[in-house]
Amino acid sequence: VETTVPLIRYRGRLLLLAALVAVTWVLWPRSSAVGQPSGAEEIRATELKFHGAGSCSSMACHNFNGPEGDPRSEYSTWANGDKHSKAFTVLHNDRSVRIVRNLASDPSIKKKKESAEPLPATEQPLCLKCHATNDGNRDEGGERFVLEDGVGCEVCHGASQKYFTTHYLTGFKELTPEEKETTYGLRNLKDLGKRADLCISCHVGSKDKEVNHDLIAAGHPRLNFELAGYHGIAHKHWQDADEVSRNKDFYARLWAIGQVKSAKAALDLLAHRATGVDPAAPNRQKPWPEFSEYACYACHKDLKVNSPRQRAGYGDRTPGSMSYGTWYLAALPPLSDTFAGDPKELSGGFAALRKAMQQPAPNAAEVKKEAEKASRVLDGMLKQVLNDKEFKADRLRGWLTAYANSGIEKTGRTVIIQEATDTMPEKRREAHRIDEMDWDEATQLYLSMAALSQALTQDKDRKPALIRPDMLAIKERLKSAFPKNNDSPQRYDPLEKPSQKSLLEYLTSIRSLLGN
Amino acid sequence: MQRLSLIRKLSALGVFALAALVMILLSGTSAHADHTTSQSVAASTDAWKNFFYQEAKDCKTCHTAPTDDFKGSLDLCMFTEYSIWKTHDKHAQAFAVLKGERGRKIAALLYPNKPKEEAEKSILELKAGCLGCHAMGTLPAAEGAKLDIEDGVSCTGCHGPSGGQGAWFGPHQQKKWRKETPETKYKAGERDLRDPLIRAELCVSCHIGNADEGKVVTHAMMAAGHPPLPPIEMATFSKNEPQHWRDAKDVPFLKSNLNDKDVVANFHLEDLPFQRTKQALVGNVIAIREAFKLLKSRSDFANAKNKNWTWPELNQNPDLGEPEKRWSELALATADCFACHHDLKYPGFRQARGFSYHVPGVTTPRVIPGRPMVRSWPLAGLNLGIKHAEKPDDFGKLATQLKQLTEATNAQPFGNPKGLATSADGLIGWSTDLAAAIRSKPFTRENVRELARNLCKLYPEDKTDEPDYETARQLGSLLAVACADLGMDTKTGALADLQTYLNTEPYQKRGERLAEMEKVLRTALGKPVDMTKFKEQLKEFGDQKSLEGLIGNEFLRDLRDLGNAKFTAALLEKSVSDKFQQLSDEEEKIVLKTISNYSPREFRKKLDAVAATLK
Repeated sequence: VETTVPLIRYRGRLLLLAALVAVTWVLWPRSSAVGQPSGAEEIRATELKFHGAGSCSSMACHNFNGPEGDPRSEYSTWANGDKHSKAFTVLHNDRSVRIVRNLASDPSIKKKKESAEPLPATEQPLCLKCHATNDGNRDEGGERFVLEDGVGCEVCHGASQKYFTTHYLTGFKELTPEEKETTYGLRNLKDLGKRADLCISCHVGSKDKEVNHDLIAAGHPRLNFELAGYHGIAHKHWQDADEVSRNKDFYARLWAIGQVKSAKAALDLLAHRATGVDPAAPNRQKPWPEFSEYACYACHKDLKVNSPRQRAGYGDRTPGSMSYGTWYLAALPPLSDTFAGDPKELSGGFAALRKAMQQPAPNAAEVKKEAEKASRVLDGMLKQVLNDKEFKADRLRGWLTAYANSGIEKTGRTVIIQEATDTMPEKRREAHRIDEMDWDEATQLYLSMAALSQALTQDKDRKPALIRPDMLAIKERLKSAFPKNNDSPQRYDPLEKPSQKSLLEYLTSIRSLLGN
Repeated sequence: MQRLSLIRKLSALGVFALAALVMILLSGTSAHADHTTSQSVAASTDAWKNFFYQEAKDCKTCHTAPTDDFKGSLDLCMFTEYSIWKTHDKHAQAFAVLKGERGRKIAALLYPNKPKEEAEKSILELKAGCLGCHAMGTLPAAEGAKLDIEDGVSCTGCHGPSGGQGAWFGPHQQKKWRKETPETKYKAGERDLRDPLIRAELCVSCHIGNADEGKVVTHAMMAAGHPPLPPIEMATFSKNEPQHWRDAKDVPFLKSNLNDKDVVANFHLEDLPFQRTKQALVGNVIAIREAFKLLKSRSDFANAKNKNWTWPELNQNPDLGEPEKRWSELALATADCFACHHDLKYPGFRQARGFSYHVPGVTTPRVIPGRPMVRSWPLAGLNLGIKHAEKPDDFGKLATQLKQLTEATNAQPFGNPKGLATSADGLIGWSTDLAAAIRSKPFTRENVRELARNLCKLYPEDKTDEPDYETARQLGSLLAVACADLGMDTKTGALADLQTYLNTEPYQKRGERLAEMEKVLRTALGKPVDMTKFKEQLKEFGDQKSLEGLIGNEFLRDLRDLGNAKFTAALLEKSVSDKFQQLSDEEEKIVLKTISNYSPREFRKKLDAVAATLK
């Protein structure tokens, strides 16, 4: 703990900065990060004024420019390493120029007053909603507020009008996180639920902030958020090791909360999309079907003779229909066995929604009904996840096994593993779930098992080390499926070939190593 | 006053009479135009209702091997037509592929809940939608006189019904038949396939589709394994069928009668040296018309001639209800395959270029990104076609049509069906006029050279327009045809390079296919087979001696003696049809790889290289 206390003059007040930083960590609730299900919590609506990231960047406060994540180096960590600080800047780049140009024919794109030319991305509310503090409304800002900050301190921590001049004062540290939030507007990000909501609001999207297929086709990257994975690679400006060491189940909890919250947000967004009303252009229907709800690579793949999909079959879909639920819903079932009041209700709900979405021509009203129903079931599940005091190692091991099993499970169909040749007849074998999974589903399965392995390692369990070689092999297969400059996993093929093992073989090996 | 009123009355009467005359004339010409511009199955149903389609075995007797008896007719006909079709032409195996390896896989994926054998039977039912193209199964036919489906795409299905009272089977065997007009022949059931417009209409009825004729490839069929239909460029496709007829310039009877007005009119000899260019350019515009006709049939929910033919999806999945409830499913059949089906790349040329219905050399309105668009390769040759027809006003008309099409596309994902049907209607009428105008405009050395040069200038360096693969392939193919007609060498240098890059003639396995065919025949005939002279003649269509040299050819004689049914049965053997399918798979792999590796920048470079040789 920092003991040297530098006294500095700031706006006429003396403050004990380091003490505050230290206290922040000490006050971290040991009962782990527990919050309430936020439902459709409005993340950014506020009456309060923003002061801008520049207001936090005094060298003596948060801009010490020390090693990444050091106390007092929050601003410098963000500014130097964290892509969020470049969120606005990227709106100037060629890609953004191209996106706006491509979208010019879309009615929700704002045009210049003097001509029919679209305004640049830096002035488009559609872009600013996620790439800046707000959609471009400078009235919400104080004197140092600049949109150019991108996703700066206050986007996540809350508008600082009330806490700006108080958060370093004696007494502030004694406040509970809830008091800091409700009285001073300093968001309680120690609550993993709230942290998840915050990230998800942009990275999954909500009815006011969404990346739809029009935008992706114009040039925006797709969104495929997974909280634990993103959290893992983020340039953190807080003491991650402390946070993890205080909660043995940190990784598993973060992953579980991320799974359920992301799925719920995705379902709410889907229900909204299915209503057909576009808040940005009320006199026009939203696109339906909304392609970004579907598996990207169901369509976006170079056509192949006897493609992996044709060899594995379309399951219960009509050939050529798009598969749904391959990302946000893919990894939930094993979790729901523990947390859903009635796991059957959840799996049944998902099945009904999938069926509706995977119709070659999905009915919007039916999808909306099913998405809302499934979202309500997730509410119950979320409450249980958040109220659960500790994810014990036994349970994590059970989940790990359940996930391996979910890939190994037989589907009752067959797959072609060897095309007929002059000398050899076609070879088929029984199909298992993993054989029929696309890249998204297989990746979600991998990410879930990785989060659980990480949590168990943290808990000094030996199982993760045993399965590590197989896990790495799966990871390598998923990663190397993308050739250079490719956004499609062109080489993804879960089935065995003369030159490669099948993903099924790796999973089977993992399953046997996990034992009973 | 009275006089004035009389004048008025008289002039009114005159105006009325004139109007009546004009109307009579107009109706006369339009009826005539209909007759000569459309000999499609739909148009011919009434005219041909008393005729029936004779089977390939009926044509085989004469058209397998030339004999001394036919020597007097070898100046027009080759008498090897059946032989070429049956041994070289994939059309003859159109049915066999349904029973082959690919057909079986498609069946299994389309009917996953049926036992294998039942699924395989299901795709052979007319309502499944396969036989329309693969066995001419939807042709109107008199009771008990249908084509043999095992013959695939066979003689009279294209040439017209030859059997029945007044039909052409008897008359066409007489030498005076060649003096008859196409109209007379049409009335007797014979289609005028030397007319580039009518030929194009016939070929694209399958190669693009025709809902009224029960020829529709659904998205589900393709997802199950049916190859995407390649852009069809009529001259090159005709040549590679391969032709079982000679181009007019190689036919002695036609060459020697260029001063005979009737022969010139009857056999469309007006643009003799440039007939292939004409075929390609007219064919391209007919492709537009037929592509949008298909779109219109499929998006106009109230006016289907035969619902099951128009929407095979209804049969495959009846639970999903009526067409109006499933547009996003139906639209996929007429959508641009590669607009969606491509690996995502960044940076990729599509996003750099932007999205619109691309007409090379024409600025077109933007489509909202991410919206499936109507397949648009047929628009490739429009700029050149309009210029050739010297109808500059058509650029304006086209702009109006494309604006409508774009608005309908932007209205919702997959487009608003009503708007699409309306805009398709406009494009159908417009392209019908344009095709007729192109056909009636002479093709000369000067304007064909101009066409080739204009084609090379479609993508100047300062423009960001970039064609997708299918548009580029259509253009590359058209350019090669024009250059060949101009007497240029298309087998080497920049032109060959362009064609190889675009894989405009994807028949890499033809040699192996023929070798396989020889094996089949050796088994069927029970003796060694020597196809050498027969194959040589196919390469020497201009050499009459080579054709005459086939008189008495042992292989052709054996082929004539081998029953058609026996030959067909040999081709339907599982091991044989599977082998042929494997060769097709190999070719398709190369096609798809070409598309996957295609870069518009590379195409432009290769086009520039050809341009340099045109100076």
